[in-house]
Amino acid sequence: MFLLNGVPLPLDTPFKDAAGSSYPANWLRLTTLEEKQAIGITEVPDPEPEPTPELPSPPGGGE
Amino acid sequence: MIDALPLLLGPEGYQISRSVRLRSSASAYFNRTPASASNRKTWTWSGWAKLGNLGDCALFQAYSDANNRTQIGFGGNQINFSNLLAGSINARINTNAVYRDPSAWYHIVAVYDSTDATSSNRMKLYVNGVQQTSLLVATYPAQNTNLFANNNIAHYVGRDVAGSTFDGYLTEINFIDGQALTPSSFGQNDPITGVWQPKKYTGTYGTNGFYLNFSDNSAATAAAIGKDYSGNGNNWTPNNITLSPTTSTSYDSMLDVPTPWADGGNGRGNYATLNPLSRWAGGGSVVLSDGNLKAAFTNQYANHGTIAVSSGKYYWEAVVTSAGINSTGGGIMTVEQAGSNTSPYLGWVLDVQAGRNYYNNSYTSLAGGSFASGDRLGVAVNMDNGKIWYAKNGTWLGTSADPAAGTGAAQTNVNKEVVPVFYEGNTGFSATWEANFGQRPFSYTPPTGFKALNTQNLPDSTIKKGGAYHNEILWTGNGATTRNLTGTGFQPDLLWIKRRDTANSHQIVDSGRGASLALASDLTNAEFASQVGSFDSDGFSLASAGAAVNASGGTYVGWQWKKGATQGFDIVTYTGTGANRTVAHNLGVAPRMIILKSRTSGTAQWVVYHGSLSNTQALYLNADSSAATSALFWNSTSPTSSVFSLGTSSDVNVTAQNYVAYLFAGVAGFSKFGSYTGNGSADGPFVFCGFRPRWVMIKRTDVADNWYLLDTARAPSNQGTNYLGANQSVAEQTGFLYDALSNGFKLRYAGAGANASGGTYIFAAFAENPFKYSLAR
Repeated sequence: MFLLNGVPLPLDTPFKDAAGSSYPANWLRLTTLEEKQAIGITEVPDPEPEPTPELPSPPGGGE
Repeated sequence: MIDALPLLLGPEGYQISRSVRLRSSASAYFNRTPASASNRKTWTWSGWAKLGNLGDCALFQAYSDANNRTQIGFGGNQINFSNLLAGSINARINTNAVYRDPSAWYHIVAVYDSTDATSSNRMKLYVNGVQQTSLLVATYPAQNTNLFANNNIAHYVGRDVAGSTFDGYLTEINFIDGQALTPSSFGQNDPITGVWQPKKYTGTYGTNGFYLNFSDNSAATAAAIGKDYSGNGNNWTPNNITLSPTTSTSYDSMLDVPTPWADGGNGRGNYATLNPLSRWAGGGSVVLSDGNLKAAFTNQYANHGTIAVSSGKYYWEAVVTSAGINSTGGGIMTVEQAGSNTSPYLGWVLDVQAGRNYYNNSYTSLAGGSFASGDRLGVAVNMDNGKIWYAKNGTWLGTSADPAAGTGAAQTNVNKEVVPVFYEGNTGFSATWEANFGQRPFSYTPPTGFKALNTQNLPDSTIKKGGAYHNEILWTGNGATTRNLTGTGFQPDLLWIKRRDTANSHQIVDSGRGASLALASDLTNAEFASQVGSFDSDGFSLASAGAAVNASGGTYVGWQWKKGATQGFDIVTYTGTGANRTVAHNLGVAPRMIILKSRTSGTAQWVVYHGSLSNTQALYLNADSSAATSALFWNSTSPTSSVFSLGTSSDVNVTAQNYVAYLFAGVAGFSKFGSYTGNGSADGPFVFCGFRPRWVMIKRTDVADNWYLLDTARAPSNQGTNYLGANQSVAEQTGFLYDALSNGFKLRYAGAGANASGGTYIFAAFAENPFKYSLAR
């Protein structure tokens, strides 16, 4: 995933960089990593998927 | 107030201003008795409907008595148009297709013309502009038969006198007395999306004709909410419709309309409701009502919203009522959790019994977060910075909590695609939640910058028409050695052909290797001479009368994709090195699925990477085996925006062998590569895609099962049943029951291949259209 100022950057959504410049929704797809890095975007691996456990009983429970 | 009447606004099209919610729980409907009978042989009824309760009901009924009536409505989720005369049906058509998509709008047109010499032309039903010709029942009336409709008897909108009232939303109802029209009088295909859209009817109405748009919400009277805008003054009397106070949960004038448009306020369009198809069945139950805005939970149960978000800022409210609040609340969950029968406590929720601020089954306490019956929960979600806030009766909970300022959030780690959720979490308790996503006036002003949850406020999609980049065509072989097949809409780069009527191997060709070279997904064979001639501007050509592509009388499907970064598809060829390495690609973002095959080896398997599996796992497209684990597939490294990694597996990277890899990245509103967990029920998981799917591939990963290939070309209406296996040469089979819907797909059977209890599945899906623009299916 891409991070801008440490915050995950959703794909397919317009965004602004720290300088206030606007980028269109498909900009991330149409640029190289070097072009992304030039405006402060970093790339980190997506978290590895983890199985989601199902809870057998309500953890909230009653008071 | 009286809304401005809908206007034709050029490219943005015709805009419906409001709908009326009919609450079956209140027995709400409209009625009118014409002063005199008019043309009972020829008329047209057109209306837009969004379903709440999915039970049997009538949209329109003319009622003399229980044995003498005309009706257009739903029965067993099918649409029926019938006339009962002296207790016997003398006219009836009934669709084979089922309509049980509560997340978007349907356009329904019923046409009656008993003067037509051709019996099958005397009754017609259209859904979203398409005539329904696959009919479960077709009892056509004798020529010149009068129906009860348009007689001087009681007529109803939303009521079956002998049965149930409609539950849901209605708008833009036209009745044309004396004319048999087609849907093109009331709708048209959008030139950009191709989606059927409402259009202002401009013709004449006839004596008893009427036009209800429910735009005047100033009073629950025939002169206001029931006003006829045809010019005839044929107003309809509202029954059990509430229009005051505006903040009442019973308020029935809605901004929920078929197409998105900016109104300077909350926005109008298809609004979120609770989704009866998507739930956590922890052992309890729910009664959904009032257009799916009211959920009465008993014991452990949850329902999710119909709209998911991954960017933007949204606000909604809900009132809780309960004799004794215990372990109930609301918030958000990931779409993967929602599709996997997962407890809401694993999402981000506020449990309002004691203000417990949950994430992933752990909580902190929010002061002031203990609710009493009648209190109103506010939820503000900022998906751009991953924060969620909760309010009680308009006061944000937590130190310095202020969504507009971005401070004091209850949680700050929301970075996935999420849907609203409401629940009761404890056995032996009940709670009722009445939600408002902005379709009616909020009780409290949303934080500055936060929007109502509707399709207008969803981000625009970069791909508005999926068919521009992925399509499928069907054909019947003619035995010719050359043949052009057109209608794709683009020049494909990947063509995947499968014979349907009898066993034959798949044939996959791509522009990276050239049309003359094929691979078969059900075989490990090396590349072989294809039976495809060329990729053309609007399809492809065949170069053989071979059984795989064009045997006389054979039936075929051809799935096609166009490559490009915008649509998230790339084709890469490479030569193996026998050493750990990377291979460059052109997607600009990390792929979510990679399918690769040695072109050289006759024994190497098709290897599939999927983002819902780990980077040490792979599936074999040519086999039914469960996910295999080895560092040798991907060198235990996830793909990046510029490369994917390979280990030294003999299937992926043998020295001097040639390979082809198909890489896919999910594009919002166009493609998705995700996962779900089965529940072992015919009421199976609802898998949110964010689009109306055209093509879906499913594979179980925890134990062996086949790859299932589904598409809406072969299943043009619900429910779908026929499937092909990517790893199988066998003919098309039936029994894989599913619904393709406006915002995803719903599994309708408990077979191990799609929905074993606790089974884990991955899927790949491509869109007809983004949900933002989609109609119900």
